[in-house]
Amino acid sequence: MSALALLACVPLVMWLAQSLLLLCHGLPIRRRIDAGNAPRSVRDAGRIVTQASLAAVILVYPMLIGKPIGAYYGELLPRASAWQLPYGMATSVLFLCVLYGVWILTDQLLVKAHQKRRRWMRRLVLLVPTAFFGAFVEELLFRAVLLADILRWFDVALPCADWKGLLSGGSIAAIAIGSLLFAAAHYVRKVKRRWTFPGHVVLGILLCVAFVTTGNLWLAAGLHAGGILMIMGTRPFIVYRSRSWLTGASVFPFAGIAGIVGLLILTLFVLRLQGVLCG
Amino acid sequence: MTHSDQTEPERLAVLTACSEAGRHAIDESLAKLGGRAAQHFTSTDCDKLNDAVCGGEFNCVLFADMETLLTGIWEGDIHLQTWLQRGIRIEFADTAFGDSCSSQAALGAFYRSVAKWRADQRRRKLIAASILSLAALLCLAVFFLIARLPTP
Repeated sequence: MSALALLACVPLVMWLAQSLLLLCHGLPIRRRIDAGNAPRSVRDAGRIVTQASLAAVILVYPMLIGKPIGAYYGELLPRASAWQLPYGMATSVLFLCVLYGVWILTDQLLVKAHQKRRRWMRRLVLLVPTAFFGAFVEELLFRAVLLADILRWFDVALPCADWKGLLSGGSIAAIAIGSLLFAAAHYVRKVKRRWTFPGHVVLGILLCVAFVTTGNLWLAAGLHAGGILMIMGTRPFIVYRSRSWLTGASVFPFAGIAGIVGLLILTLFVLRLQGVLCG
Repeated sequence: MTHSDQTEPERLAVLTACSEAGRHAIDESLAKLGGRAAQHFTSTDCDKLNDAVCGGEFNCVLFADMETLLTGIWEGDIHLQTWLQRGIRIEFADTAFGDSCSSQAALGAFYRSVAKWRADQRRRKLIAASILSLAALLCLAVFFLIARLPTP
């Protein structure tokens, strides 16, 4: 469980860095990781520390299990399966197009540019790099490091491309633990909404299933990048008007009941795509 | 629409108008008020204005005209019920909707606002649906192209 131990260090490092920065500014230490209302330099430095510690986990883990970094991640990103990246992206973009389309036509979402032009232009320009960077960092961290380590702990060989492999106790337990930790990691910092947790768990299940059934990162990264692309791309132009439990809210369209059901259908689709449902 | 306690010091917020005429009317109104200190919000910050008013930061809000206020209400940014309960004074720079706001003028503004908002919504929905349809078609094209790839 070296991955879990490494990941557990990240919030600790984040909190220590935040405390140090607050003390340097003569401000009181906060119990939680919460840079709200703190000086800009504290927030910026906090972001840099977070990214650096995540990068350190990604780089240190292969060395801990005695593998060269390039070889370890190279095995999880085989060139022959690279087509799964656009496939995953197209799948999640299509899913969100249908979801947003239904919400807009039924007036659950209001179409309106609610951010300043300069702000949404900057967001759109940075959209594609943001989506790929976010998706790959999270997939490397939560699937290539954390889930792979849990699977190794349960002695599960990848990929699990049939029912027997997937239903073995180890795979199910690894997917459950991996999904819960993926969701929990999104709540380490102080957040506005906590009701989105079940949505994050189901999203984690989809991405873990994509990783476990393919044995590589392409499909999970594609699904993840497509989701970020759509959510961040539409964010400046839509306002949620309906009940959050139904439609989700802000950058969490997957956290409402409809989004959760959609994610479960996508999970079945991934299982069908990998031939698990047929096998 | 005057409800506030007159002894309370006035904390004025202004929702900046989009049109040149609206901006001019607001400038004139503020000049008549003797250059009273006011915090300005742009039309994209209508929700922030609402949060500030509901949070008790202001007790008087100046709009260019009734249409600006109504648009904020239709779009769900302004919670008028809360404003009225808090006794927020609402003023319009357009003299047609001053303190002596006539019902004919109010009805006309109301109708124009609803019609404009509906037309805006239709246009926005059309643009959104076109973009989403295009993205969905692009996704289907990706599926089609991948299906034609030679299997290893």
